[in-house]
Amino acid sequence: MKFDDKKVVKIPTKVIVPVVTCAIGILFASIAFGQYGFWDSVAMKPTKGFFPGIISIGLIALSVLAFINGLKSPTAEFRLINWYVPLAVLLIIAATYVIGMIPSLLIFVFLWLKVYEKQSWTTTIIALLIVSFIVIGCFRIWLDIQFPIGFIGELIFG
Amino acid sequence: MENFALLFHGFQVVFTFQNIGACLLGAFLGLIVGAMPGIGSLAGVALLLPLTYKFNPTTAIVLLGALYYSNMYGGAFSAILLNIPGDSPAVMTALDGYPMATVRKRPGQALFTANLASCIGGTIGMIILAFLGPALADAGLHFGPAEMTILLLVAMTSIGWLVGSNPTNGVVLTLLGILVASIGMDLQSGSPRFNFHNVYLLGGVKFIPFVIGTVGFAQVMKLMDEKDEKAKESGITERLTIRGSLLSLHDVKRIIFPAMRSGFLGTFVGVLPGAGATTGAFLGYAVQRAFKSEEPLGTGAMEGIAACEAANNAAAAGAFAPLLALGIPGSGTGAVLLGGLMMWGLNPGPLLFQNEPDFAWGLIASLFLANIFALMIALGVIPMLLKILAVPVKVLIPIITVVCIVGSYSDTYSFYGVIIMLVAGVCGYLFEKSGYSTAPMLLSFVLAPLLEDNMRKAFVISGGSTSKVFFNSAISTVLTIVFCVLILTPLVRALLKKLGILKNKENK
Repeated sequence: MKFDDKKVVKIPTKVIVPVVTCAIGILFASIAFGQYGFWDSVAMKPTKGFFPGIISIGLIALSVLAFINGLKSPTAEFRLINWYVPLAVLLIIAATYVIGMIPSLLIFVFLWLKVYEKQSWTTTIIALLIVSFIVIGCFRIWLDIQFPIGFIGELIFG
Repeated sequence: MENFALLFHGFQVVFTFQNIGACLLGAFLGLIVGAMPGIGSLAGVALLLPLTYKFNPTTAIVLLGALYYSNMYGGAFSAILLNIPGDSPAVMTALDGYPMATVRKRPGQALFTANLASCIGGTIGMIILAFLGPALADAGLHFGPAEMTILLLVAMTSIGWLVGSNPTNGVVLTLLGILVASIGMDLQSGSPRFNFHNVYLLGGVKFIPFVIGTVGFAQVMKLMDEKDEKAKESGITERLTIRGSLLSLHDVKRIIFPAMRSGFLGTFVGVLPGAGATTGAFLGYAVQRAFKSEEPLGTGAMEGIAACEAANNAAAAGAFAPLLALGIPGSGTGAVLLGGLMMWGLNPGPLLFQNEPDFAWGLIASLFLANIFALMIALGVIPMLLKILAVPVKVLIPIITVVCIVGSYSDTYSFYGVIIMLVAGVCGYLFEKSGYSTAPMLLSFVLAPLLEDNMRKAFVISGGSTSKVFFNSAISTVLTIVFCVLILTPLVRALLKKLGILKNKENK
C-alpha cells in the first residue's frame, strides 16, 4: 500500500480551537479567582488575579460564541506533509544532544534538499552555503551565540 | 519650525557609519524578503529580530524600521511581474501592474512607477509623521491611566475586529494573547503568576521565540502546501534593464499627482489602528477611480499603480505616529516593532519624544534615509528580479526553518526558546487554518503589560468604581463610546441580517 502524505484529512478544528481556548479561560479564571483573588478590600487595590480574571471571563464567553459560529462549517483541511517541518525540528533537537546544533542544522538542510526534495547538487550546496553564512557567520561569529556542541563534541573538546 | 530643527537633529543622530550601514542592510533585506512571495513583512521582521542583538537600541530600530518600510517596496515586484502580490497591500498593485508589464510591454517602467510612487508617498507620510507624532504625543500627555486603559482596549478591539473575516475569532485570539502575556512575574507585586511550578515560565513567554513561531514557523508550515506547485511563469518577454526602466518626463507628470494625493490619504489611514497599508492601498486606488487617468484603470494604467503604491507606503510611515507617540501599533508588524523597542528598554508613549529625543527623531530621520536607499536598491535589483522571484519555495523551507531555530535559541540560550517557537508555530498554523488571524494575538501579547498596568492604576485611583474609570473625563467617555460601538456593530449587523432588515436594504 502506497503511503500518501498529501492526502487531505478533514479535522473539526473550527470547533476544537474554541473548546481549547474556553478550557484555557476556565483554567486561568479558576487560578485567578481561586488562588490570587480579585480585589484587596483592605488596601483597596486590585490583586494579581484581577486583570487575568476579567480577561479569562471574556475569553470563555467569546469562545462559546466562536464555537457556535464554528458549528456552521467545523472542519479545516490538513495534510500530513505540513507536519514534517515540526517533526524535523524535534529531530534536530534530539540530534543536537548527540552531535551539536550546527552539524544537526547542516545535516537537516542537506537531507531535506538532497534526499527528500531531490534537488540538484548545485542548489543543495548553495543552500548549505547560505545556511552556513547565517548560522556560523551571523549567529556564531558575529553575534557570539554559543550553540550546544552535543555529547560527541563534549567528548572531543572536553 | 521646531519640528524641522528636531528632525535635523535626528539626521545628525542617524549619520553614523553603523546607523547608515544598518539602514542600508535593513532596506536591502526588506526589499528581498518583500519580493519573495509567501514570506511577507511580518514574518520578515520577526525572523530578523535576533540580528539586532549586536546593536544599540537606536541602530537596532533603524535596522528594523528600514526593513519594515522597504518591505512595502518589495511586495510590488511579484505583483507586477508574476501577478502574485508579495504582501496584501500589493493586491491592488497587481490590477494595473501586471497588465502594464505584460499587455503594454513596459515591465521595467511599471516597476519603477511603483518604486517612485512609493518614494513620493512615503516622503509625504514621513513629513506628516514629523509633525503628527509630536502632536499626538502632546495630546497623549493629557491621558491618565483611565484614558490609556480605554485607548488600549479600543486599539486591541479594532485590530481584532478589522483583521480577518470573523471578528469574534479575532477577539478570542486577542484575549488569548493577553493571557499568554500574563504568564511569569506579576510586575506590581513581584510574585510569580501562572508559572505552573515551571522554572522557565517564571521569566514569562519570551517575545522573540513567540513571534518567530507564530508568524515565521507557522508560515513555513503553510508553505509546505505550495512547495510542489509549479512556479508561475512570468509573461514578460522583455529583458529587464535599469535604463529601460527609467520614466519619461510625461510619465512622471502622470504619476506625480496620484502619488501625492494617495500620500496624504494613506498617511491618515495608517494612523488608524487596524487600517494600515492594505486599507490605504485599497482607498488610494478607489479614490483614483474618481480622477482622470490617461488609460482606463485595470488595463495597465500608471496612475493606478502610483495611487496604491504611494498610499501603502504613506500608511506604513503614518503607522509610526501612534506607535511612537502613544505606544499603540496599527498592525501585527507594528506590534513586532513595538516589542523590539520594549526589548531594548524603550517605552514608546507620550514621553518618548521628551525622554528619548535622539531615539525618536533618529528613527524618523532613518525612515527618510531608508526611503532613499530602498528606491536606489529597488532600481538596482530590477535586472535580477526575475531570478530572485524564481527561487523555489521548497528551497526556502529548510532555510527559514533553520533561521527560526537559531533565532529562537539565541534569545534564551536554551531549548526553552526553541520549544516556545515550535509550540507557538504549530498553534499559529492551526489558528490560521481554522480561520483565526494571529495578528491580533501578537498585538495583545505586546500591549498586555501596558494595559494591565494602566487598568490596575485606574482602579486604584477610582477606588474600584468602574464608572469613574470609563467615564472619568470627556476623553475617556468618548473613547468608551467608540469602544462600545466597535464591540456592538458586528453584533447588531448580525442581528439585523438575521431579521432580514440589512439584507433587504442591501438588495435595494
